[in-house]
Amino acid sequence: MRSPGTALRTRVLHVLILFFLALLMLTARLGYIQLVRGGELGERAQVLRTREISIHPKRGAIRDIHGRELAISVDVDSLYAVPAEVVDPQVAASSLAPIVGLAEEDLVERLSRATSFVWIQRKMSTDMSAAVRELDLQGFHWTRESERYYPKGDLAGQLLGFAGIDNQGLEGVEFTYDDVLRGEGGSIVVEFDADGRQIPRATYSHFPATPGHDIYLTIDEVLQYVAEKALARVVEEQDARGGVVVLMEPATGRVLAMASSPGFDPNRWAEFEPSLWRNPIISSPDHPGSVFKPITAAAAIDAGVVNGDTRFHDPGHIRVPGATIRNWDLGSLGDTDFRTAFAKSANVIFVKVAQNLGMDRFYNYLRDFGFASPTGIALPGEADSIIPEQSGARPVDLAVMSFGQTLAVTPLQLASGMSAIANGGELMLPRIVDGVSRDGIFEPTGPEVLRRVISEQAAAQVRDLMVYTVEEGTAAPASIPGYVVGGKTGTAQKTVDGRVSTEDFISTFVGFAPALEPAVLCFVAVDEPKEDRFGSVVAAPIFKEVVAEALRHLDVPPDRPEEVRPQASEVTSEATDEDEESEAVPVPDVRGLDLKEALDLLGEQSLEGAPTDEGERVAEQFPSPGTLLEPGSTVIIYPEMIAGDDVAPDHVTVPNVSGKGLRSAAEILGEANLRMEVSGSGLIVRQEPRAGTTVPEGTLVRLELEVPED
Amino acid sequence: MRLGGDMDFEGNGTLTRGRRAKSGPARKAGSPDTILLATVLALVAFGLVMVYSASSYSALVRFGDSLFYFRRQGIWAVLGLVAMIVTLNLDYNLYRRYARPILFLGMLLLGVSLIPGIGTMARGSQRAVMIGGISVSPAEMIKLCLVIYLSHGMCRAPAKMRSFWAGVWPTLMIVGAAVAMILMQPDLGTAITVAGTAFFLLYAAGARVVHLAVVAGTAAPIVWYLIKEEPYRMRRFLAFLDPWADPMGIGFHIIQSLYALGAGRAFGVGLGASHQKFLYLPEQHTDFIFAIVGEELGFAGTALIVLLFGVLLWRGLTTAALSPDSFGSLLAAGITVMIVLQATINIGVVTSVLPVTGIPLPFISYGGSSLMVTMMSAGILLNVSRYSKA
Repeated sequence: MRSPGTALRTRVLHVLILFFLALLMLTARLGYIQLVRGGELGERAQVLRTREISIHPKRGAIRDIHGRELAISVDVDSLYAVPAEVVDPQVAASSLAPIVGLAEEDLVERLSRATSFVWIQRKMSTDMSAAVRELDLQGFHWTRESERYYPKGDLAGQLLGFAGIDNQGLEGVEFTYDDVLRGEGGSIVVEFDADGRQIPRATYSHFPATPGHDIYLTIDEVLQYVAEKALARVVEEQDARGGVVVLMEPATGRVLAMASSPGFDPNRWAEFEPSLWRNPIISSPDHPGSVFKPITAAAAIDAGVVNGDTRFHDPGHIRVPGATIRNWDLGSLGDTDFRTAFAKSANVIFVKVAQNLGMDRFYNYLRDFGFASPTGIALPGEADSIIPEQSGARPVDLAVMSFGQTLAVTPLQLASGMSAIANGGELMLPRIVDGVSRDGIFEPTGPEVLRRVISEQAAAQVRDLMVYTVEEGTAAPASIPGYVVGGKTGTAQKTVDGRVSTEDFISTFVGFAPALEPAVLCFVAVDEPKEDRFGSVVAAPIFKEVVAEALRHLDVPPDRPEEVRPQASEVTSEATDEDEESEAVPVPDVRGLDLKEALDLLGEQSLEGAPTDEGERVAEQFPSPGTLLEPGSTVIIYPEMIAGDDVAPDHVTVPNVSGKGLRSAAEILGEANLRMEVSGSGLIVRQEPRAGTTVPEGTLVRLELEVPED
Repeated sequence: MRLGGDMDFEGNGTLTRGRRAKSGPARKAGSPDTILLATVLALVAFGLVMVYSASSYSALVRFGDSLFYFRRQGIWAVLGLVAMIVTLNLDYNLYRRYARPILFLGMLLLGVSLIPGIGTMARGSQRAVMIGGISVSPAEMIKLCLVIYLSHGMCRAPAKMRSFWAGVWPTLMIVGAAVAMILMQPDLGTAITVAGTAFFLLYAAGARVVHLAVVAGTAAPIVWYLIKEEPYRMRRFLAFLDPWADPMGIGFHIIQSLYALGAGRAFGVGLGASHQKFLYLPEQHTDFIFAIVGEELGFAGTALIVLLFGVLLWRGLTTAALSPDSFGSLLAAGITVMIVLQATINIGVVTSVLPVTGIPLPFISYGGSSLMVTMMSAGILLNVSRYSKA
């Protein structure tokens, strides 16, 4: 028996030390991987293993000031495929292609991509999705997406804007308030094994989507409709290029209506020229023409340069360096006072007034009235005015600007500046959003005073001049029985190709009522009317129709009651005076009737029914039943919208989803148009309501999930 | 030296107490090293649990039976335990007498396994031979056979080990022949284990460092050539340096392994809760089972396994140092090095410090032959410990 020598022991010790060091090194390496980089590596593994099925949030609705829906979201089906799960792309494509309207080769290509997710067709019609479900193809999955729907069609289209396929706001209020409306997307995260099979008993993470908030506009749907209708009629009559109407509440800066022609239907936005998406009221500065004179007058009166009684001599022309300026009618007023000059819109006198005011003060008032910067309204794409630089302005510029030429402002800038005169001298921030409803709590956006522009006395004096203009001067066609109306006409010369045109005009009108404490201010512009050109003829009737409806709709008490004979006898412009003795008739209640029945019933009362849209039944009417109208007046009828809230929901039977995974449950319930709420994880062990119960579509089904015991 | 003289199946059959042989030869067997025995049993038990946890999903997917691999591993563990009890009670000096036949048998099996039609392929690289209905992997067997034969050969004339031609050269010839046949399997991992074990045995037996340096210096270019020869080996070899260079290709194994380890952090995601085992980590119950350990039990689990191998190293080499004779010393050292070297390489691969070679983690990885041979070896090691000069 040979005993191992010390040499052997020493060498064994060497081996021991060597391997001990190796093991120590491995421990350090493990510590580095697991403790130092553990989190990062673990997350990367998680990402690799999981597939996320996103749940789109329901976009908030856009409503008018009274909560009427102007834009809503409806749930529709979208189809996607997991290419790895598709057994035979060729077979699947050939059966699917004719239904979804895609080329077969295109589908085969999509289904052969080395990706785990590919859209097949998004936002399908119910018929289409039913036909696809019929095929029961493997590897294809459904997800509910919400599609934007504008129930009132082209009403306020440019104001609302639209949302794209991913529900992202692209134009208008949809764009500006996208972060409020959009909501937050949720997802179902499902873990898959490396071959794409769902892992049994793997925990699902369900992050429910948070719906977006509803927005209440300052717009009143009824007034918006009235404005659009009045504008459309005149644009058609005059064969004009287009036009705008802005209706504001001067005291608060609320925009009650914002109509522009031509408009577009946001439901079919892609079919319209992108230029039609733009809202000209905020994006198209143009020469205001004589409607700008109240601004010049306000500045001069506030500065103490002039008052209504100041005497002037009007020779019919005035020379300024570089030009001779004449009155619009090429006539002269001779010796006159400022009141008359204002009412007759004498350019020559306004040039003199502006000269007395001086360049510096004129520009200061321009800035104070907000004409030198965008108004700051919460709408995208607001343009700035075009005004000569003060440093480079020549005397001729000042002279011409005094009656609204040379400078170009947006309709909203003009309406906003004019509101400062109407409300007693304060410039308000024009507002389009009245408030946001967050989780059922209404958060109003309050009125915001930007600055005082002129004194109350000066503002009152300008209003007097404008009242005088309606009662005695060029603006007479704008008078509204029962109310003291102030106004000013304009006929702006357009600048075409850099030259002032003698053929193309913009007929404008601005005014307010009641004059003492104006409830509404309205600016109208009609672009290139072909039949007439003067604001008094083209624009004033629109003003009269819109403001008369607005005063009645807003229940503004008449401030000249002695003129009111039967109540609201002349509220519509269509009220003809050919039958002066006609008795006012009460508006019948047509709500809930068939559209045809409603029109017949109105016809019996010699009233004209004007449906806003196609539809079967009448949901609302304006004016309300019982209102006295002159025969021949128009009653606006709002048909029920198919996707609106008023539609009685269909009833469905709750399917049985117990024992299913969350994903298949989501598909089954989605198919039945039921919503779901989830608690726990694993497989579904309880559902409420029970399977077999009949419930209205859209009912919330509560699901309880548990990880099954093995 | 008597056959069966030390068998301890008497009385209540307690093994650890270690009774002395009744026939009372010159040698008296004491108790085996308790710490070593406990470590081995702990590793085997740990391995069984981990094989179940790591393999259940792939077993379910492949065979529709989540217990498929576990059941087999369990049977092998029982067989291994029986083999360990036998070797634990078999005086190790017996192997000296049969060292030549043992090596011959091992080499024969290895050769036979290379004959097409007899050797069956398992996992694409290791060949197995069916013996009595049981598939045996000769590459696993040869490791133990060589350790026994080399220990025997080296201890006969310690002085000869100082000579290159008389001591080192014959060892190289025998090991070289075995390694060549293992490479033909082709099983690079086992070849490296065999070569490495032989190298450390030569060192322990007293070979001169200069000679060993010459051997290593000669072997390195050959190994390099072998790697370059096979393109897949080259790619595997380089992948560990930057697994993210080809994340879906050759780097996939390593990345998934690192993901699993990383996900475990300090204390793991919980036993049975691995997510990487859902077919993301290839070989999740064989060569890469250590990554699943890391994911489910965290650094605590991986460090524990490394610690267990550390204890095995310590007790094994202590046994070698305290053995009454050189053969016992070399045998104990050879077996210890064989096991710990494998463990080191396996963990090195899983943690991406060594290229992927395809070596199972002793005691833990799924694989009957490996478990059987390792437990049999452990039994021999424990038997040597019974004769320690305390």
